[in-house]
Amino acid sequence: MKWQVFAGVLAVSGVWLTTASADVAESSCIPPLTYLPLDPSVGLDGNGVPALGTYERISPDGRFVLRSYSGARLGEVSLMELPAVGEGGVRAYRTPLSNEAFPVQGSWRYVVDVDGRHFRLGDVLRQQAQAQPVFRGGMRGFYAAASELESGAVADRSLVWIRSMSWPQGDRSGQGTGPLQVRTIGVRDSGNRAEVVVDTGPQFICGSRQSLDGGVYTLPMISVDGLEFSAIPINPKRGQPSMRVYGLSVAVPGQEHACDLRMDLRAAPGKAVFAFSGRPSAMLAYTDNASVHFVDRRTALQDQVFRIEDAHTQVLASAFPGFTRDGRIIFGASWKECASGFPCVDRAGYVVADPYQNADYRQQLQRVGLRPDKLCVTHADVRAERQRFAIARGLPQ
Amino acid sequence: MVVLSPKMVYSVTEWPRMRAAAVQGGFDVVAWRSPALPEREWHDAVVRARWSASDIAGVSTAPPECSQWLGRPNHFPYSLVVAHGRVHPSPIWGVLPDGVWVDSLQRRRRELALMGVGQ
Repeated sequence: MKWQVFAGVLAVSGVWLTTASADVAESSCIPPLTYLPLDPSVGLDGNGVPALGTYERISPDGRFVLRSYSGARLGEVSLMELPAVGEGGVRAYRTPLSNEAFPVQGSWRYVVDVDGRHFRLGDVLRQQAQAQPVFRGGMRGFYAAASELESGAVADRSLVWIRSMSWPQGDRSGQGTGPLQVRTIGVRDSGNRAEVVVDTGPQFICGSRQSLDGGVYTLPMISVDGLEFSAIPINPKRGQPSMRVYGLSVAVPGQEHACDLRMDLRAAPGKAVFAFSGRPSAMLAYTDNASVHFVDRRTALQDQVFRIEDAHTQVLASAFPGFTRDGRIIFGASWKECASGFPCVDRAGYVVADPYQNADYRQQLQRVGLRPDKLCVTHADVRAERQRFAIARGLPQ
Repeated sequence: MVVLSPKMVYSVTEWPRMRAAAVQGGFDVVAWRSPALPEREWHDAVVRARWSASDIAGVSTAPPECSQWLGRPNHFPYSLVVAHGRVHPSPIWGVLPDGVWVDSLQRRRRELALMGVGQ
């Protein structure tokens, strides 16, 4: 453990032990920022760069990105596979999914089309657009999101519990008649077959907040553990609309959701996504003015916002960020690669950032006397997450 | 005033419905495509979304003097209510169902009217 910390400090200081053993390299920090350019064949736009959408979701190990398309492929969704350490290209898989299809966060056991059809991730990677759904259930419609429930008072641990949220269901004109809806399902999955055996049905939530937040929220996102969500009340009774975090029931499936206010960012950025639970910092990340920011939710830092630094010229975030289980923040972006004496080259692709190596974040932690969750994300962390995820989902490593 | 971008798919697929609801709610609608968007990408997207000729004609390029003022919206559609010579300070982000969309527009129009009275 001591050696891991030492190696990390060396990496951050810009010093590198080139004679280090393989074990030392594994325990060293990943680069603070890695840029992964896309192959130009991945959906070009009129300027010769990929015409990708802003909607994207990151797998727990950072290996896969669920990404929407723009332009001529509007409505299509692809799965992109990122290399482990910045070597090798980005591979794109076609999917049977559409619009803002979403993963079941936490596990990525299933990826879900907007009509509620659940597909196994492995099936989509192997069969691509020909993959077949294993069941249909949960919330559907605009801005739907889901998470696999692991903590709390789970009613039956033999089932897979999934909590999803969206706007109220119904036909298009009927949506939005209440603020938001949550639905928790219990799935019996034998490996060959999966079926919904418990279903709370759609539950209206946050009605009790009407006198404070008004009757409509936008940009909702459920947390990775399914016990919170973020959203912007569009018409608050007082003050300006701002991104806020609210609580959901810890009971599973759960009949009552308190919608108690947990945090107010006092700003209106893009969709705020949650880090994996279980760490004191309990981070959120979001885009604002084409940059990615993150916050540490510990009280002493709640007013602080940290911007992901740039290592290239004109880095513009082009999609929502996401967290890996080990704490990396990954997001789609465009940037210019500029070398002395040569014209700059336009690139589009992905940025992998280690927030624990963010200089501003480290400085603020030190200032308020808080300990970081970790000194940095190590190569060993990344390898372990990719291995864990591949085994859990039955994927080649 | 609304800014659209197919980078967020619903801002294209739902805009004809939202525009009709806003017009029916008594609003004059000015719709621009995001200044950051290549024209080809916009064209390809609205063709893919099967927009009618009038839907396509109802969205124009943002005037250059407005592009800088708009900055880089965090979400599309990005909607602002303008009335009594003022822009309401709270945009509306994202697509909304007809009822709450029109309610949100009307609320902002009322607030702008009250701001004018207060002067």
